[in-house]
Amino acid sequence: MLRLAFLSLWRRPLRYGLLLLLTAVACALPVFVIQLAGGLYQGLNRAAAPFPILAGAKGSPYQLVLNTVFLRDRPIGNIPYGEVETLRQSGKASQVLPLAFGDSYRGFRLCGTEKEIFSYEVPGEPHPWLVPVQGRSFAGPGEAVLGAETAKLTGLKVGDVFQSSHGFIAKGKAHNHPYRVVGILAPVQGPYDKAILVPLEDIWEAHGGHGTVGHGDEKGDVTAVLVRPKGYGEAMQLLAAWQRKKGGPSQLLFPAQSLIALYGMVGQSRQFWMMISLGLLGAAVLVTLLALYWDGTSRMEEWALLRALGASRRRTQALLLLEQFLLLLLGSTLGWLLGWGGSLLAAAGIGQQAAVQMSRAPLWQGFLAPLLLLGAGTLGGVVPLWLLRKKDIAPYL
Amino acid sequence: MLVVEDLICEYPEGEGRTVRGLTLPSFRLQDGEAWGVEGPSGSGKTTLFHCLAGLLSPTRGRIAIDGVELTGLTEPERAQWRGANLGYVFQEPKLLPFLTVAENIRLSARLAGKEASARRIRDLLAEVDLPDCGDRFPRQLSGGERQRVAFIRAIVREPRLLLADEPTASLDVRNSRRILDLLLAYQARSGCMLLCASHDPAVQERFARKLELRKEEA
Repeated sequence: MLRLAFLSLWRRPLRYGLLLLLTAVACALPVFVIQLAGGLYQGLNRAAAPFPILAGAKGSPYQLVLNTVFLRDRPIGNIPYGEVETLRQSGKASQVLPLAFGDSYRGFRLCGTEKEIFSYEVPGEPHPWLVPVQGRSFAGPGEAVLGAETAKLTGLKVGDVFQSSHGFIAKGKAHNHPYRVVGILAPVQGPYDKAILVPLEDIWEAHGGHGTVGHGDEKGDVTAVLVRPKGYGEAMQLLAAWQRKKGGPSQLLFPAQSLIALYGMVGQSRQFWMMISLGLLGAAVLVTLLALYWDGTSRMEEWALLRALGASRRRTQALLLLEQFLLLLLGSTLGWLLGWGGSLLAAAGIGQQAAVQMSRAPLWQGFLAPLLLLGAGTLGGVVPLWLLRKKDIAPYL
Repeated sequence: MLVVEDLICEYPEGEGRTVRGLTLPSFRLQDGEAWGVEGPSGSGKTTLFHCLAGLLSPTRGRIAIDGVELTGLTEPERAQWRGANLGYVFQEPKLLPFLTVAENIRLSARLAGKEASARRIRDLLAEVDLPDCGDRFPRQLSGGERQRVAFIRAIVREPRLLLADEPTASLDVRNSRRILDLLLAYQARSGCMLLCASHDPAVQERFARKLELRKEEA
């Protein structure tokens, strides 16, 4: 029976091609939206995961997160290095790392930090976050370690020398401060793939007179501080302590909280698209069922013949249902592939333009649309069968 | 043996009216007999065949074939009986368009619970001068060729009762004679019961015994 159902569909491509296309397109749209929104969500989460707590200049928390986590927008301002020491002395953080921004090379941001960043472990991850796959981590002044994408896009290799520019645009004013590439990082699937890590002191030196300068043993300013708390309780205590310190120069925030607010905005747009997609999916199920009913009535002669040859009513109905199932299965599968493929293309486009690396792996939510179409279509297929059941086959013989 | 007793078929036709499709006196068709069924259009030839095939339940009367009370069977039982005992040649060949000639024949055999090997199908097709047509689709055959395939599809099941409903109506003289020759030759060879409905006198004169139907008003 399976073979008969398959041949009935396969050998009538014109008859069923259009129906297949309709099913596929109806299924593809919600899959595309789910994959895109979910991939973006995962990408944002992955980017923010290494930053449990951030400290930075007072101002917009979004700007601080955008600047530090996603390497976008301008820094709010600087805070004294003393804030780093205060956090270290609090006893509530297992790692505290200063981050200084302000320079770039061909648009790729330099991040001044300390060499301990190469041993920094993202909470929940068993391995360090930033690991050189070529060369080594920086050990002294004038050394730079490139993110994977930076190396790929600039063509810089270990041993090459480059000059940084002030600001974040590709043609910014050049500093007279050369760096030698000593290492290239393994990809982290996040914004720091497009970063250049340099010693904090080099940023201070290059910025003589720009506000982050430090002279001799004197420490300069930093843009942000990455804090890994010892635990949840310590994190809350730190936050409370900073909130009490109203006159202090810095704010302390959980980037995840800022992202939740952001998801709220993205979520509304996602819900809007989901509503449209579900509407289209519902319409497609309805049109598919009508088309199947039309198909069933136009093939009454075939059903009558099968009955005359000895196939029971139940068997002919099962054959029709099997055909519908195969058609929907093929359409849903094709639709899922179209939706997922489309999201991959979109992710590739977004990945080039934006800091966030979207997740490309298929999401389980993406399978809901084809399953819904398959389930609703197959169950709904009983309706035309029930209507056809009442038809007298004798006139068709 | 086929036994038909006092068969009456009526159809509902809206507003409580019924149309009588068939009124038939009792008759018995012995094993190995071939009868012609004649009557004007609307006299119920096709209705009779649908009743004999178990596709239609008569309003009244009794049909028994080889001791099986067809009128007492349920729909699935009738389908099973039809598959195992009946061969049906229609006015139009009615081959499944998405199956090849060989697949149409094989499907018919399978629904009768029999297997038809590729060699047997080839031999049967060769008997009706269509030796290389097994892989062709019905649309690639002429009307006469399709009807010969429909004949093979009916006999591959080795039926006890062979019903031919106007099997030559859509064919030219040469093809009509050919189909009739094939039907009668098979009936003689197999010893099955054959009923052949036709309003064509040339067909009817080939049958020694005839069942005559008359048109009736409700």
